[in-house]
Amino acid sequence: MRGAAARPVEILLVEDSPGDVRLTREALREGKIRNHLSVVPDGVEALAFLRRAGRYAAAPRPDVILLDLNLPRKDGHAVLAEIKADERLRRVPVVVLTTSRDEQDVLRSYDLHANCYIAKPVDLDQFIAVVRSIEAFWLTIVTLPEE
Amino acid sequence: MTDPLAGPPAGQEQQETPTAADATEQARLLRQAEAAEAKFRGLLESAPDAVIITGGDGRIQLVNRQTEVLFGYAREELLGRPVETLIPARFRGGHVAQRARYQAHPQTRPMGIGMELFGRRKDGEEFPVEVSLSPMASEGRTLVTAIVRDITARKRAEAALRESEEGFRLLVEGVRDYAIIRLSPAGRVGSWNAGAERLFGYREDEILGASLARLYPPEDVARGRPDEELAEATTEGHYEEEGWRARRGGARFWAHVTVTTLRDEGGALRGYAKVVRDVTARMEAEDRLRLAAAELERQKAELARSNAELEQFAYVASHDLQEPLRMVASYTQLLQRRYRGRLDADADEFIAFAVDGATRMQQLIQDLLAYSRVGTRGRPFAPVDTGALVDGVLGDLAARLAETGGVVERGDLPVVTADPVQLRQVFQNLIDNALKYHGAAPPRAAITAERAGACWRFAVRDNGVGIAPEYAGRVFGLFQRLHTQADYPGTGIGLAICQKIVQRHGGRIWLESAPGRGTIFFFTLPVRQESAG
Repeated sequence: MRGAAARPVEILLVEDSPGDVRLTREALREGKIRNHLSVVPDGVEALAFLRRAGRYAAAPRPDVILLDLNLPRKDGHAVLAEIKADERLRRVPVVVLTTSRDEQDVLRSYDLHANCYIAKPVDLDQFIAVVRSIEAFWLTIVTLPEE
Repeated sequence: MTDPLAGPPAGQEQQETPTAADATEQARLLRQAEAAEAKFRGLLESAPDAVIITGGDGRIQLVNRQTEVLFGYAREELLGRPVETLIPARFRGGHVAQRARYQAHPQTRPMGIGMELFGRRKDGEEFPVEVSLSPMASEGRTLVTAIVRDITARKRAEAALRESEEGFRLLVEGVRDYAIIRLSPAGRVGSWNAGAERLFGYREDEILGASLARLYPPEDVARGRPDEELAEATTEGHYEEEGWRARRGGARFWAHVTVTTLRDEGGALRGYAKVVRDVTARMEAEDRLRLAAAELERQKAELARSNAELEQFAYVASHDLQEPLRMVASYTQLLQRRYRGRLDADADEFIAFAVDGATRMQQLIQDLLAYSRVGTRGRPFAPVDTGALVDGVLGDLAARLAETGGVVERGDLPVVTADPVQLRQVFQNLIDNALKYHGAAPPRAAITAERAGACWRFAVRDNGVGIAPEYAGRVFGLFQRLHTQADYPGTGIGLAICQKIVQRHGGRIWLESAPGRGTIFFFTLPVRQESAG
């Protein structure tokens, strides 16, 4: 339970489409919870961010990761696998947030221990509603692990 | 034979008085003679054949018991009678002449060699006989002993054998589809039937005696094949193969050949029976079948490749087309939300059209994907309880039914063999249509099934607006619609998907309708055994 002076929730969005990034930002803005959104455009950057490597030395530790699967260089499943294999990183909940409805993608994500899988709705209103549900669930209802 | 009872020859002085010893000797000689005669008579009487002794005048002097039995006379009736009595009337004249010739040159021999001889019984019945004659000299004339055997049984057996052989001959001769050839131990043609003539083109008179090699193509003769065939038949007793044979004139045909070795009871080689059949037609049919099968394999591979391409395209459509589409749809919607009323009315209208177009395009792509996946993502067939399936669909529609006041009934629905997911889609689409295209009255629909021959025929009936007959075929086309989006929204792919699914199951889909009179959609599913389809 966070107090009023608590820091804003740190969200890491791994997403290569600027359009989708902006949409997510707009959706989060409409929500009630103070949050800070970090964005990395692909899997390699995501892992560097999480490990605070190179230019990410001062990066904040995310409270939740929103992970797209369709990423250049290293795809979402590979990133997921690495995160969940890393002792220091695997506590962070990973929400796979992707356009794919493919059964194979869903199964693979859960096999790799994604915390949940959400197929992005095509409709804007629904997308906004989903993002706010993510907020509500993962950031207020769920108890997150302390650092 | 001198009469032992006769006295001493005339002129011979008999000074001695007969002694007692002489009388005993005479008695002994007499008994010896009687015994010999009895023995002779015994032999005669017990003989299995008729024995008839005739004098030079042709009159019967002696007959035995068997003669009585065979000819049906008591011997007293025969003694002294002409021997012709025992012969059918028509032969008598000739017989008299033959007797005279025999008297001139008497020999022990069978009578009438090469002639059919007949005896005649007392009651007039004739029977076939075999006769052997032997002469006996007596007092200057020749007596003839005839031994007569009734050969009725033998004649009958011979006739039966001839008939049987005739039967077999007709059998072999008559067979036209198989060449049945007898070969000598040296491999020469000994018999040739109609089938052989038909198959090989040689007439019997042209081929009898010819070597087996004549039936082979020259190159096989050069390689020694005919001899190999005979050699194998001889050692194994049997030889079977399919190979080329040659007709008269050289034309080849593909033959099925069996050769069987013929041996007598002692095991000696008597020859070979060869049966040949022209199986060219069958070989050609097999070749055609092989070609057709290869073609089928090729088509299957082609189809699989085409399907794989389609699947790949569908995947690309799903992932890569969707992305930019989402951007268009989402941002136009954002514009709508953020700026409604803050730009002019035209802008609002333009944005509204853009949003509408984008969202419809998204739906179209989803539908296209669904259509393409009917084939590429079909599941194996399994038993499906259509009653439960329909109940499930109706359950999902419960809210919609409630708000439209719609009622859907279903009759008894069978268990069928189908892809459960796809069948659900069919019912979903049809029921959806039934509820969507309603007129003023609240929608009513009924789902029934009945067995029609080898199929189940399902019917989904509604009380909606109906379909004009001229459009009845078009409704199953891709993206074909009969109404505007304003009247009834939809992409026009639902029925196309239904048709593709029903066709995948081997069934048919059609409709009966009239404007304002509602519509019935029928579709059939073949009844089939459970199997992975």
